[in-house]
Amino acid sequence: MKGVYIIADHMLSALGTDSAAHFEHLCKGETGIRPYDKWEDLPGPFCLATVPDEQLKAACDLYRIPSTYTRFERFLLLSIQAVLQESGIDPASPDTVTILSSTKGNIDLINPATAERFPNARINLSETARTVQSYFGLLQPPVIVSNACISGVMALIMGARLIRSGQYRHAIVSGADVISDFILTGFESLKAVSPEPCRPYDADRQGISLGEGCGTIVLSADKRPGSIAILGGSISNDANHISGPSRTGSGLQQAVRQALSASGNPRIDYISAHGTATAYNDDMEAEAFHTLGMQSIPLNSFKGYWGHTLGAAGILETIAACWSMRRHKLFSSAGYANNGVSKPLNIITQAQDADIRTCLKTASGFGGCNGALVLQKEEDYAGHRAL
Amino acid sequence: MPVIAHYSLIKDGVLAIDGLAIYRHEDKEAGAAAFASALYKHMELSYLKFFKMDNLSKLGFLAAEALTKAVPDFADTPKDKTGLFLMNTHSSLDTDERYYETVANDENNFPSPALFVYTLPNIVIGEICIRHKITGEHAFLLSEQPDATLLCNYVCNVFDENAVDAAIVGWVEYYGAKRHALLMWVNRLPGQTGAREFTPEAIQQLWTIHS
Repeated sequence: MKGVYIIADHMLSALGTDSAAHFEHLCKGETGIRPYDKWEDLPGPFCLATVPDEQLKAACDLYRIPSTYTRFERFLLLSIQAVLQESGIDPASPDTVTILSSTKGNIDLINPATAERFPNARINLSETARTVQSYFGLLQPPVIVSNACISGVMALIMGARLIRSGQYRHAIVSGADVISDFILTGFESLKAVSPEPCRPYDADRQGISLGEGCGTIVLSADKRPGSIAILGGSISNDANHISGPSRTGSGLQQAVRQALSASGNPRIDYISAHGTATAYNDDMEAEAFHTLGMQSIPLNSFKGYWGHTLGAAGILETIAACWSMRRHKLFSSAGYANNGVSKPLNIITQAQDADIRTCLKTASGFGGCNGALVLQKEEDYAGHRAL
Repeated sequence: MPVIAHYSLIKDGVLAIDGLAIYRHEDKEAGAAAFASALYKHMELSYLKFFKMDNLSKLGFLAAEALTKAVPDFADTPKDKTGLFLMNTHSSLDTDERYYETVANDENNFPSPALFVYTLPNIVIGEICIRHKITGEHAFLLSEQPDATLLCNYVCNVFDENAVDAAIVGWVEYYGAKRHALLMWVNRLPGQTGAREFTPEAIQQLWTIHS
């Protein structure tokens, strides 16, 4: 069975336009979530984690991404361009598969005010696949995963499986979503949006903060110095409710157990959890990790830094977990002060040095879906990337 | 190698199992909602959640209902080892547009949470899982055309990992005039009459015959 390794990554969110910028802010515990009186035509107040326009423009200029693309497409193009430069892999090779993950893609084009400049069909993610294919000269349109908030974790598991089976040597896995009035009004209609920056697992948590961004990872069958391995992963379904998690977290437990078993049951040093800061999600995770006997493992949620980025979340958070492992650092769970989940977890409250060899990444989403992924660095890991 | 043991099809007012029509809606002019309700009655279902589902979920739900009734080994397959892998072109766009009408309309109209929760394509997977208590591996993928190669390769990867014993695999599309479900029951049981090898060619052939 072939190994699968993370050999390059790129992050784009409210915290910055590359991975290094994210690392700096994470070390200082700085959030990218900001209060807004209004967002476009929607009256607020809201707390959102948006990518600043001037930063996006600078990053697009750096990677020569034309402004003729939508915001969502620019996220993907610049992030993929960044990992291609870092990794040097050939996206047009028959050995390379490209996988995109998104919940809603160009959904902002459903608003006639936004849609003026672009053809209607562009709203379909299958059109995004064509756009990315022609931009990078890919042999095939990218595979598209659209499975709610576990899309990113699912795309990574899929990439790892397609490499492990020998069908491909490399997988470019890129996940993105943009903030739109569609998504914002939707989560507001569910009364799931927090009036203050989100506070995962905290006693005073009031819901999610929406974010936007893109995360891209290059997976490879060829190990490079300092690369982190994906040992295994698993997907499950609660079979309980389409918009609420199971009370017991049985679906998440199943995904974690399967992922650990597929990975040879390694000891887990750290959990990068989903932690949306809704009452039900965070309690569900607490129940699941307790039943699994994982309640004392250091755990955080990155949602307090760049919000809930939906289809990008699983990839951005996996990259951040890789930085934890590479830099021997556990990041605090932003927004957390006092335990507010039904069973206490070991939430990280301050950035601290720690040697983390093996990490569990989890995600859960609408439709009752759960995903779990196991990451591991080399035993004699020395660290490879200087800032 | 996994095999396609059975398949269900809903298209143009017809429900078929393994290529044989078992229900034909006479009123060709009737809308999709009327057809879905007629099919629900014909199948003698009693499942109130059906009536709150969106069009995509109703279509997938009915095709899965017909398929699982036709599959002798469905009940005996462990629910955590039953997979569900679906694909379409237009995601949940039919419901996205319905939801957005509630956002963009006049001041007396409020964004509808009941519609918003259906604005993800994988909700149909969630509905089928709830109905049949399926908790296994799943994925919703989007593609301009039915991508038989990807579906076959990925589902075979999941079988090879022994993450599933059997799976519902197929295409569920509901947008505009495109209303079409083709679901296959894929397993690894030997000696099943009429089963064909689960290959990209076999998937493509089924697709071509029935599209």
